[in-house]
Order: sequence, then C-alpha cells, then structure tokens
Amino acid sequence: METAKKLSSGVEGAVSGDQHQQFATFFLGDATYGIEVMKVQEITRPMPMTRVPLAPPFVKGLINLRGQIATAICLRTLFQIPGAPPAEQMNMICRVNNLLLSFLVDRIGDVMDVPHDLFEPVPDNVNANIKGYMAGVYKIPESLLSVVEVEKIAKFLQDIGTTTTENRGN
Amino acid sequence: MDVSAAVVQEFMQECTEVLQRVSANLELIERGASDRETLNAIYRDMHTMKGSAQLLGFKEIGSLAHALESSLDPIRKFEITPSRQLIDTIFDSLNLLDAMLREIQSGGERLPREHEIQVLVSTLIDHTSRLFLGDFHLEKETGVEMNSDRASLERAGSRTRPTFIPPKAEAAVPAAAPPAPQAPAAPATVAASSVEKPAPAPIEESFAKPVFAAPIEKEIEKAAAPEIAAAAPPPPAAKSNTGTASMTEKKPEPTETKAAHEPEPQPAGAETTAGSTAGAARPASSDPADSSIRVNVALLDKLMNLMGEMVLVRNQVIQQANKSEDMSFIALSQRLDVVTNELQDQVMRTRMQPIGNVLGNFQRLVRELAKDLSKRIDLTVQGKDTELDKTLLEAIKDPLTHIVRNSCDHGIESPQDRKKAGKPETGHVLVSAFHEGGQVTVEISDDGRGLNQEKILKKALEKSLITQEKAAQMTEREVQQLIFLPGFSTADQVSAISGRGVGMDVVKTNVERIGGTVELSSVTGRGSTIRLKVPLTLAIVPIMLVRAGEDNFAIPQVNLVELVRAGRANQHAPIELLQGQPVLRLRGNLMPLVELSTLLQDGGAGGLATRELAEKEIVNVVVVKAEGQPFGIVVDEVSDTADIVVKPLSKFLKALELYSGATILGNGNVALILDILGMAKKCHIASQKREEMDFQTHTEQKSGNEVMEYLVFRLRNAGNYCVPLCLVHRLEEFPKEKIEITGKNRVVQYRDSILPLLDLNSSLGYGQKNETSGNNFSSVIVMKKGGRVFGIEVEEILDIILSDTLHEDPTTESEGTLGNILQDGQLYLVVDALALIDRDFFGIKSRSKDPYAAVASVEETVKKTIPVLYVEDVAFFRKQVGTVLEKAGFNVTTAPDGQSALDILKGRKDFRLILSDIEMPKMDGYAFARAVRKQADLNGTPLLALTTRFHKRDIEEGKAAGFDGYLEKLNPEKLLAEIQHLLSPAEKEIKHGNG
Repeated sequence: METAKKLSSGVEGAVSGDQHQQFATFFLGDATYGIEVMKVQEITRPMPMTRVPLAPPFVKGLINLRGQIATAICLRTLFQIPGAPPAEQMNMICRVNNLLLSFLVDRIGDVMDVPHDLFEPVPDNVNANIKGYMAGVYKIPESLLSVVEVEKIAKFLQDIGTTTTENRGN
Repeated sequence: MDVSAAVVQEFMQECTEVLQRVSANLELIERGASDRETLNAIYRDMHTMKGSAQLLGFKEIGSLAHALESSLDPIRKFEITPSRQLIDTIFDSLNLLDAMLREIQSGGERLPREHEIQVLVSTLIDHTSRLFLGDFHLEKETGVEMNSDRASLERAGSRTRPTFIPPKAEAAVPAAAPPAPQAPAAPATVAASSVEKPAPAPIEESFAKPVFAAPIEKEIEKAAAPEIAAAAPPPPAAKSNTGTASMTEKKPEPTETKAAHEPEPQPAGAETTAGSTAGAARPASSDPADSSIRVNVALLDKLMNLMGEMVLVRNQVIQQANKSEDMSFIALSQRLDVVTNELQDQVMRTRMQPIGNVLGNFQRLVRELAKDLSKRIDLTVQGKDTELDKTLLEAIKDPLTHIVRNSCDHGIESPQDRKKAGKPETGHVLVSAFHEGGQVTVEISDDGRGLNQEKILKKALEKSLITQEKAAQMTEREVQQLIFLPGFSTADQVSAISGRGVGMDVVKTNVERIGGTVELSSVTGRGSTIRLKVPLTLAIVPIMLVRAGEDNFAIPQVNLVELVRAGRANQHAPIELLQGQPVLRLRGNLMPLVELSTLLQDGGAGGLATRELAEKEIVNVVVVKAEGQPFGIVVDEVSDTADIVVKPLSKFLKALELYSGATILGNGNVALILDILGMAKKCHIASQKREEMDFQTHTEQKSGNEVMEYLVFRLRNAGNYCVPLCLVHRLEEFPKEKIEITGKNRVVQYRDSILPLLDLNSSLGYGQKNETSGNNFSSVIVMKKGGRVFGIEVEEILDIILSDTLHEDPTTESEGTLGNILQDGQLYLVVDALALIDRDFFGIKSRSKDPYAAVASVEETVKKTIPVLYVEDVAFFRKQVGTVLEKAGFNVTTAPDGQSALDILKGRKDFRLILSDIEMPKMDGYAFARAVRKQADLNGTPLLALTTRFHKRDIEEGKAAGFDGYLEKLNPEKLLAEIQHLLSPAEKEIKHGNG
C-alpha cells in the first residue's frame, strides 16, 4: 500500500524521500521547466496538427500519434507567457488521467537528475497563471527548474469540460 | 478498510454478475423451466458471494448471502420446487444485496441494514422450513398473491411456531422438522437411500427421522436461533449472525451422528449423488470459465486502437503495392489486406457483449414495479445472447430501462381493469433482442392498454405542440409519434395522465445519439411495441468528408439526408436571407442553413455576416437531420465518403458540443467528427422541432402529387439527360484505373461484389467511352434491378430537378428513352436505364424496338378495357406501369396507397385484377392484400404484387397475405405474361372450379 501511494503521487513522494529525482526538462523562452521523467511517454519532433475551431486558445490541435489522437496544449499560451513561440514547437507527450496530451514546448533540454535538498515550494510572487500548475522549484546550478505538475493541467482541462457543459445546459 | 481498490472492484464486478445470473435462474424456476442444475447454480453463486464478501470484510453481504445459501441447500438437495414466497424473498434479498453493493461502489455512506437483513433471514428460514412442513401444496395457492407475504408469514408462523418448541414431539407432527438450514446435514443420508425425486411425503418422513436421531439439545439450540429471528425482530445483530453461522458450522456434526446410526454405504451414497449432480453440472456451468478469461476493457480499447493503426499501415502498404511491379510484394500486400480485415473483425468482436448483461436486471426491476404498482406482470426476455458493442450496451441501458418501466407503469393495466377488458389478469411484457440487417433490434412490447390517442392529442394541444387544424388531420401514427416530442411529457404528468411517453424524447435522443432509431406502434386496448435499432458497433462508422476553409470534417452518414448544390447557379435552390439568417428553399420548404466556417468562427452567435452566401454562384449544402429536424450545413467542398474508426475526444473538447469524436484519415491526418445534434442546439435549430411534421408532410404531399424527381447528368455530347431518381440506388465515383474488363463487360469491385458497368455514351450510340477526358474518376449511377446492382457510367452528375410532366415522345428514334421533360425552358431526355440494362446485359431487345410487342398476345386472349386497379405510391411507377397496362388494353385505375385503394374498391367491384406495390405509406401492400382477401366479393380477384423486394421472406409474407404472384416492377414482358396467365379462360375455369 505504502509503495503504491508513493508511486501514485509522484512529486510529493519525491519531496519527502531523500533520493534523486529525474526530470525531463524543456524550455519556454529562457526559463527551464521539468516534468517528472516517468510521466513523459515520449518526445517527438513537430507533427502535423488538425486545429480544433472554437476550442480554448491553448489547444493548438490534434495530433495523430501512431493511430492515437493526442491533444496538443501550448504551454506558452496556457501559462500566458508573453512573446512569440518559435515557428516549430516540440511535443512532449504525456498520458495523464486517461488524457493523451502533447505539451508544445520551445526547446527540449536534458533529463536532469536532481537531489531533493534543492527543492523549494513555489515562491508567492510567481505569476498565478503558472503557479497553479507548478509543484515547486529546484535550485539547480545556474538556473531554476520549475516542476510542472501534469496532473494539475489535466485536472484543469477536465474541469473546464464539466463547467462548460453545465453552462450550456441553459 | 485495508483492501486495495482493485480487489474490491473485482469483487463488485463478480457480485454484479452473480446477481444477474441468480435473477435469471430464479426466473427460470418461477416459470417452471428449471432443471436441477438451476438451483445448484444459484446455490453455488451464493456460496461464492458469501466467501468473497467475508474475505473482504463485507459482513452484511456475507451474512445475507450465507442465509440464502443455507436456505437453498436443502431445497436443492431434495429437488423441491421452491414456493413463490420463497422466490419472492430471495428476490428481495437480491435487491438488498444490490443496494448494499451500490453503496460500496459509490463509496458513500452505508446505511445500517442489520434490521432488514434480520427480517429477510428469518423470512427465508421460515419459507424454507415450511416447504418441508407439508403445507407445500397450500403454498402454491396462496403464493399467487404477491403482496401477501407478510400476512402469510404470520399465518404460517402461528401455525408452525408452537411445534418448534417441543422438538421431541411424535413423528406424526411433521412440523417438528428442524428449520431449513439444518436440513442439508440431517437428511443427506436418508435422502440418498430414497428415490431420486422424493415426493413431498417421503421428505417429511426423512425429515422426521433425523429429528429423533439427533441429540435433542442440539436441535433445541439450532431451532432456537431462527426462532429468535422470526419471533423477535429486530434481534441484536451479533446474535443472529452467530446464529446463522452456527447453523452451518454444525452441519458436519449431525452427519456424523447419522452415520453412526445408519449403515456405512449411505453417507457415501449421499456423497455420490451430490458428486454426480455436481459432475453433471460441471460441463454446463464451468464451461465458460474454462474457455474464457477476464480481460480489462482498457486492454481491449488499446487493441482496438492498435488495430486502427494497423489498418492505416495496411492502407499505405496497398497504396505502395499498387505502384509496385514486384509481384511477390503485391501478393503479400493482398494477403496482408485479407488478414487485416479478418483481424479487424475479430478484434471488433472482443468488445461485443451479450445484451443479456443488461436485460438480466429487468426481471428484478419488473418484479419490484409490479409490487409497487399492485399489478401482475410477467416479463419474458428473448435473445439474451445477442451481442453488441460494450459502449453501445451501456448507452441503451437507460433508455431500455425507461421503456420497460413505462410499459409496466403506463402500459399494463391493473388486474381489475384487465379482467374488465377480458384479458388475463397477468400482464405480459416481452423484451426481445435480435440481429437484423447489420443492426441490433430490441423490441419491448406489452399487452397493456396501448396509447390513448385522445389523451395524447389533448396533451399536445394543451402544451401547444400542435395546432387544432393539425390535430384534426393527423393520422393515428402521427399522433403516436407526438410522444417523442420534447416538452410533450414532463415529470409532473406521470400521475396526471395515464398515457405513455414519460421522457420518451430523452429516450429517442439518447438512442439517436448512438446512431440508432426508435419506432413505436400501438393499438389502443391491445398494447404497444417500441422498437430500438442500434448499430452493432460504434467503432467504425460510415462518414462523409467535407471541407470548410482549410479544415476537414467528418459528418456521420446516419445524420446525412442529401447533398444539394444550391446558389445562384441553381434556380431550383436559391439561398435567401431571412432576418439575416440564411435559408434554402428546398422543394417548396424553407430549410435553415448553417455555414460551417462561420459557425466555427463565432460559435453560433450569428454575429458574422452571411450576406455573401446569398451572392455565391455555387453553394454546397449538406442536408442533415438532428432529432428529426432537417437543416443544411454549408460547406466549401464535399470531398469523399469513408468508413472510419472513431477515436474518442478529450472530454473538454467534447464539451464544446461541436465535435463528437475524431478520426484518422487514410493520409494520416486527423479529422474531427461533427456533432450534428450539438450543432443544431448551438444554432437553436433543434428547438424548432415541432415543425418537423409539417416539413415531412409537405414533402410527402408535394412529391405524391405527380411531381417526380429526376437525376440530371451529362453525357459526352450534352448535359440534358436524366433518370428518375426513384430508380437510383446510390451515386459513386470510381477511379478510372479501378475499372476492369471481364469478357466484353466493364466491371468494378464494389462493396465486396462485382458491379457491372454500362457506359451510357456507347449504349445510347454516342461513341466509345471517353478515356481521354481529363477526369480521373468515372461517375457511376448505381441501380438495382431484380436484386442485383448495375452501374451506369456517365460523364458527370449534375443536379436533381423536379418535374410534373413526362412527355412520351413517339418520334424519339434513339433506343432506351422514356420520353422528355420540359423544365425551365430546358428539354431533358429521360433515359430508360433499366431497359438498357436488359438489352446490354441480358440481350432482351423487345422493348427498344417495339416496347409493347408482348402486348399483342395478351390482346388476343383478353378483351379490351378490362378494368384493373394499380396501387403504387411512386408517381413514376404509377405512370410507367399504368401506360404499359393501358397499351395492353386494360382500363387502369390507380391509387397511391392501400387505404385509398380500399376506398376505391368500396365503390367499384368490377376490377378483374389488382396490382399492388408492397412498400407504401399509410397502408402497405401486405395489409392491403389481407384487407382485400377479407372481402368476400373480391376473393376471386387475382392480386399481384409488383415490387423490388424479392427476399424469400418477403415473398412468403406476400403469399400469406393473399398475393397470387410476385413480379418485378418495370418488367412489362413478364408482367403481361403473368396477367395473361392469370386471366386466361382456362385459368379462370380452374379458379372457378376451385372456388
């Protein structure tokens, strides 16, 4: 049971333990972000996308991932990071709560092995648009690694699903 | 609770299955259709449930299951038929188990059930024991009353209770038998030595013996436990629990005691009988366990996805192979194709589940309802093995439950009313499921009071769903359909009106959402039948691909009605603006239009200008139907049709209510599937639904009024050719390279068969087929004749026009034409395509030179102006066949449907021959034939069916209805020959001789 709990709730378990944690890192603009490596299914080059009219702006489209359909979420738009994204964005594909999501990022970084003692909770002054999806920060040498918690993004998406249906119920 | 969720989940699943199975088996017993294995199966199921419940710490479930198990054990051993009351109690227990399981499932608060369980356990014991008390026959009589449980319980209790106390009473008092739970142990040995099927009397005897044999204090102790439960509800939970537990724990003891008293071989004998029963049962019951395994649905879904990928790869391989010269590669790709198809079929089947999984629960539902409503209702379920996709099964579960509820609640009358109506007091609800034409049909019929037309009309008027004038004109069928209108029924009327139809609009919407249909027929006083038709699987659906702007979208073909090329270029279908909203005048009706690209920009707010739309030369309109309401979707291009694998869409995208799913096209691109219902809602089209009927009746009236639709196409020399649209089966385009030559015919592979092609250019004598035209596709009109399909190759398909005039032109020299129509200053030549098929494929030439050559012989035998009645709903056929007959010397009277024909027959009795179509509105051919055959004065009149339906079943049904012959439409030679045969003097003499 204990182990299962630890496995299922990733980041928290990692925080409490004293081992290293691996993150697949990526960049949005100059900032470094990371997603727990076990949660990333794969990383692909830019892929053709089918746009979804009237979808929220951060939904960039649908991707054919070898016969499965992934929803492409532009993290820049979701986090409301100003500035234009590069012409082609990489896909970081995660399966969260039965959602197959492809996070569009500017650039892919290395997989980083980070000791837990570098962990800090998200400072209060961080932009609220990003803070809601962050698990914390690692003070890695020369920069800060913001840990993105994909479950929170998935939950946010699922919540808009339910609220919009309710609103439409008229 | 330290049990992992997965195990609990498994337990829940298992319990649900157990409950279903037990319900089904109990029902068998109740109907008297059980064998000894049935009870054994229930017993085993309860045993399993007890075991796993106790293992997981669900004490209440465990103890109830235990009590059920214990009470069933003696019954199954002695093969006694359980009493009605016992069955009722078991059903009650199942309901309680179900309720408790649900509580666990929902994770919500669990109600204290101890008292309920106590009462049930004591009732169970009571009923079981009474089975052994000799008032078994009495039970059967009193058992008919369903609601008398409590009363009879008390009665029985007062009778039996005193006898429990002195357990050593004399043998003549059978009531001294121990209560049920002990029975398995005690009588085992005795029963083994007695006959296989002991009559009630020997049972008493065998029961009496152990009473004496067993140590008395044990008897008292055991008898006391149920006694406490029965006499003093509610006793403390713990006590009863130990009570029940002790009952079974004690089991071995008496057996041992008995063994001491009885000769050795008997316990062994008991073992063998039990063993052999189990042994005999094993092949039947354990078979599914051996041959099937449990697989997670997620795994199946994954398999399905992989299958989709494989299909895509296969498609690419085949494309590659088409370009390749390498024969071995081509052969391999073909094999890959075959294997993939087969695999796809099989993978699809793994998701199939028998509909019995849903229908199994209805037994309990109906029981409960019957009790609540004080009615007597019998439910029969047929076709439980019918399989359909799991998701579809889930989707029709609620609608089905709703309909069955309705049947019980509103359909079946109270026993008193039924008696008054001269019906048996027990109402009957029949649920049957079967496969038909690639679909699953589920029929729910009852023999209740049927729909009350006046009440429906009254209600509809009250709610102003229809107008007074409208109400006066409506046919019975139309009135019945009113119950499907949204707003027709609301919850508050359940008690206020006795008519049917609570929430039927919801049922209809839900079924239509999954591509199904709901039909209803009802005869007042005789009952109603509701028929659901659902596709076998949702995973693969035929769609039409359209383009709006740069995006491709798929429209499910179930929603598709027709494609219209509208705009300024087509004077028959101009687009107009009404209060800024685009509408299309289609065959005299205004149809709302939705411009797809606009909708996808503004979300149906209607803010964007659509002015340009009315100015456009060509506007492609895809006419679709949502909740019965047709509307047009304006697209930039209609690109293709395809069968696609539907991929689910994230919930938050589905919530947009614009897309129902996504799919991957052959080229690997993703396309969204449009949610037609959602679109209609967004554009506020579905809310205008009450106009649906107007639209339909208008269309019917207009097309019925001699106005014919023609499909206009172009040949090499000109564009003014057409064929009657009613002859057209489908329109297809084939790539030129797909057309092959076999012998002298051009053929193309089409839907797993060969479609022979007729090149209209050459058939009409306009030269050879045009291989040099720039178009890589060949437009083909597919027609059906005599159950076979034929393709007519034309240069280009242009339009559909309406005309009410078909001028026959005797001066036309070309073969294979029917005449001309004049429309808006244009002259169109109507091609007699069927005659050309006859000529070119079958070598029948007679029609072309002298269309009515066969007539001469008829004229010799029958006098001119013989009155004939021809019933046919399609104006074209009425005219065509009518002309043939008139030229052959008959005096033809026509009628558009069976009802009108009967009206004509009321006034005129001189018809010597009646010809009728089968599929017609208002009254079809079968009903018409039956009605004709009922009239004594028409009994001798030959009746011929002229139809396109040639299935054996159709012909048999036709013969049964009273048709003398079955002929194909538009085959004058055969028709006239058959008439000659029927009307020739010799034939008539025989007929008269017989009559």
